[in-house]
Amino acid sequence: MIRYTLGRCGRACITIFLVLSIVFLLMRLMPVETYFQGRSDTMTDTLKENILRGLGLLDPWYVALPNFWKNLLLHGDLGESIVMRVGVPVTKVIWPKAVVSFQFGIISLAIQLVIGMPLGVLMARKKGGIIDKAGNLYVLLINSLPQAVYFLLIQLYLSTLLGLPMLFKSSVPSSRILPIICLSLGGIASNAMWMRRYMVDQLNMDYIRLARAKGMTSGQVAFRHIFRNALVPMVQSLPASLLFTISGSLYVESLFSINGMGGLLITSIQRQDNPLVQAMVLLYSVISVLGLLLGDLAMMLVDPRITFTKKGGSR
Amino acid sequence: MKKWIALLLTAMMMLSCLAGCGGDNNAANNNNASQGEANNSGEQNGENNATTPDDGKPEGAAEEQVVKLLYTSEISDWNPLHPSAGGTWANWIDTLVEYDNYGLCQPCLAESWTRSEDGLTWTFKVREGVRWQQYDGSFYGDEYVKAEDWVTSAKWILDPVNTARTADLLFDIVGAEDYYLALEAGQTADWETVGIKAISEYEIQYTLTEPCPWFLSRLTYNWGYPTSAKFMEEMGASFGTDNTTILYCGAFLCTEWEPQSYTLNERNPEYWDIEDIHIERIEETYNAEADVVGPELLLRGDVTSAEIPGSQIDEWMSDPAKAACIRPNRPGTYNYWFLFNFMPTYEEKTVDGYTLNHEQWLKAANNLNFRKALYYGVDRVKVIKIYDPYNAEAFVCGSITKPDFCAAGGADYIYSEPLKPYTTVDQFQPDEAVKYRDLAKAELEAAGVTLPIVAYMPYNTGGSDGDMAVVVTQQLEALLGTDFIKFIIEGYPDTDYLNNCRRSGNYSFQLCYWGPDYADPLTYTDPFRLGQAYAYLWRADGAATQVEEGTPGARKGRNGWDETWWIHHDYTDMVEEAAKEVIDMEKRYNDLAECEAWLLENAYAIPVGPIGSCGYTASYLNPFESQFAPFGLSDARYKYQWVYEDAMDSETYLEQLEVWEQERAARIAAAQEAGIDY
Repeated sequence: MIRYTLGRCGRACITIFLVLSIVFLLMRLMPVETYFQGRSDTMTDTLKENILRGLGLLDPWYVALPNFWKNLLLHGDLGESIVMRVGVPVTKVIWPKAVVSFQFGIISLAIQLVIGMPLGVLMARKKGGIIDKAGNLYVLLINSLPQAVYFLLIQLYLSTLLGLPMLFKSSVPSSRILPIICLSLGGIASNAMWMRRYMVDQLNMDYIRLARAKGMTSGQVAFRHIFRNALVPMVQSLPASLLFTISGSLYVESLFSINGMGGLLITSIQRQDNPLVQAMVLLYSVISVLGLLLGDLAMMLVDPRITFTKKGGSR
Repeated sequence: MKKWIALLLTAMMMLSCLAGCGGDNNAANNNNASQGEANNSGEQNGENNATTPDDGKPEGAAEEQVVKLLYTSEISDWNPLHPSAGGTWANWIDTLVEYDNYGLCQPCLAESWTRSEDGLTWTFKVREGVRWQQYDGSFYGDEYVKAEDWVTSAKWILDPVNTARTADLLFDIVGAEDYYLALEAGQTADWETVGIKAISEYEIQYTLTEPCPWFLSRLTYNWGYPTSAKFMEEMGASFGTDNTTILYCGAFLCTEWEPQSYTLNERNPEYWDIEDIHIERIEETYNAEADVVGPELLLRGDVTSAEIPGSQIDEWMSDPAKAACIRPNRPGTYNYWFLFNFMPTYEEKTVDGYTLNHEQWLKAANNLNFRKALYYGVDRVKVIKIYDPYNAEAFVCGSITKPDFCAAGGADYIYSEPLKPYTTVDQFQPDEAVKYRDLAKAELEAAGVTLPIVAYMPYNTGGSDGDMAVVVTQQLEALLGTDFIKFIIEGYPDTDYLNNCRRSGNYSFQLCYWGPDYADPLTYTDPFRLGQAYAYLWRADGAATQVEEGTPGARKGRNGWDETWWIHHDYTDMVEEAAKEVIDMEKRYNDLAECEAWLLENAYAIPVGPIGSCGYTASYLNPFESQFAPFGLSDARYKYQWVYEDAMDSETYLEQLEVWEQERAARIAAAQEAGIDY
């Protein structure tokens, strides 16, 4: 397993190197207008050149790219923000936002799992019954309605109904409730839907019929056999979901004035804050790779039949 | 397995609990920290006999003078000397002069000033006793705002290492450009050669290379902020990176700031002009969806002011209670006009059977009757209704210069004699348009042009410009006939739109805009003069002479876009001649108005109005109490303003607008009569 993990890490490093290098080069192809802060029509050419030189944008790519890697690998320096928070190290821009998004994300993820998975189990056990139908209706509504619509309705009407603030304020604990509800609704539906689907798949397996024939109660079959096997594919995505909570939610954070990570990558690309984009790409690349790796390991832990050795390995 | 699941769920619950608590703990710690810091410096605050503002509230003023706002654009640059440090910034640091609520220049950190007879040397007497303060209100040592602080700012800006975006704004100060270029070339440069000097502890002097009647207005930009050299040195690289790394001498202190969350500004009890600061606190909350949630928050009393988005305006107008809370927006600083392009670079392609052809377009654009057909043919009200269906007429403007921008002789510039024919008469005249169309048809056909003229009109997909392009092209085609003109419209993304369309000449006919940089009508001539990437007017037939590079007096068309060289551009020469008058402002304004009238008479531009600011606002603030300046930073200040119990309705707004315009004209006339710089 150690060899497998090291191999995966090595491949991940190569992937991250390629992704970062490509993004670095692509960002240099973007228009430079934004760096003149709206003064492009009146600014002198001398000044424009000086600004671009100061940002390192006049250096040829074969000088700039090695410099970027040298600073990153030797000094751990991702640079300073050049547009969104001028002069501030990008890590200082990202970290407080990631913490906020993580706080909201982790609570929401817990709610999604605690409500979504039991709901899925219940729907599968009562397949075709009223709970299953109601659950399916909920899943259908959440997946078909545009998020912007029900988020806005929740913000406008639930705030009035429950007497809760419309906007988030860190000093008002109750102002967290509505954003967390919004963040959780989609995940609850998704967890319920997949848990139900995996459990229903298991229901038709031979070993379930055997278990029943052996005289096990329906509850025992459901939890000892069906749930455990249905959980395996669910567990794989859990580490990635957990890690990606720091990426925040673009619309929920915008709507409720949450200073999280949602939209930071998009905004930094739009505003061409190259060092910030690089840092965000690095962060998300690492999270993606780590999420997949941890997912595989978690699956192996949950299901002992899965190993990473070549001989007899299922993957 | 059960153990694993239980462990996993327990871990998640614990993490979520910790995470949930973490935010509050951090917030509490932060609050404690800031309180602690405030207490440490509290002795300074406590010892000061802070002046309390006059309590004489006007009728209808709210009990609590707190402004609550949503903001969508985060402060990205805390360095006060960078141009992006605008908006609320203006309330934290004062400039030498500022503009009052009638748009008249007033002393601010300068108590008074003198201008030499040749108009080259400006000397400002700096207000004594103004102390530098930190974000928590404590004094920064014994540092007072002194003349040397403006020298510090200028030195920093003119050092190429700092890549200040405003360095070239100082290049007409004696020696400034040479100083900058010498440092950029790695040579030594002597500050003594630069015409910015602290001639005494409280006297700052600027010496210009040529007279600049609007110099005062230029001082209201970022480069006119003072900077404490001691503080700048102490902060090093962290200078101007958040609210704690700048010093304050303005009406408000930014006591708390959390990026993309909130900004809290509290009235500065030590402010030199606290009698005019009635608002006690400005609470700003970041919300990227402010236009959606803002109006609802205003109804709940959670914000003081909110713009009503176009998607909600019908709902507000149809509800009498809501309609009573809204008023038209004040016309903004940018004025819009359609331009004919004389350097077409777009692809010569065929669309729906119509072929775009540069040669054909240039023949049409060079035909005065063709331009006039379009000039009289554009229905300005119809265009503006795209942006504001309820109040379009009020935004129509027949001049290139925006209304209420500057005035001479008691009259708004746009109503001066040369411009009156264009600003007092509706320029949408269908009969005239048809008359000129017929004349143009005959002339163009005789010149071998194949009709219809196919015009390429790009638009920015970022706003409502797509609807505007459809409306204006359909309206013109219906009026003038598709056998005369046919438009090909095409959308381009907002990102780099100006480079992709306007500057590169990628259009035949397009809506363009310009905002003033200083308080003089010369600023509105910029887009049409040689060197600007707008309509490339010098390329019009007979407008200028193309010459070889190096020809004496020759100038390049536009670096990066038009690399050809030109001399004797008729419009540029005309403007430069008019701008030579720097003493008699009535004559200067009249001559510049003549230049603008020439552009309109020749239909080189088709003014529409300040459409960028169309729409409605619900606000508990009175816009006529606010400082007024279409340039610089004064406009963003909250001096003189009160928060009222009720939002202003449209009727009151229009009544007060009329009164305000009359009073402004009277005050300008009085200042002019008294020979005061305004």
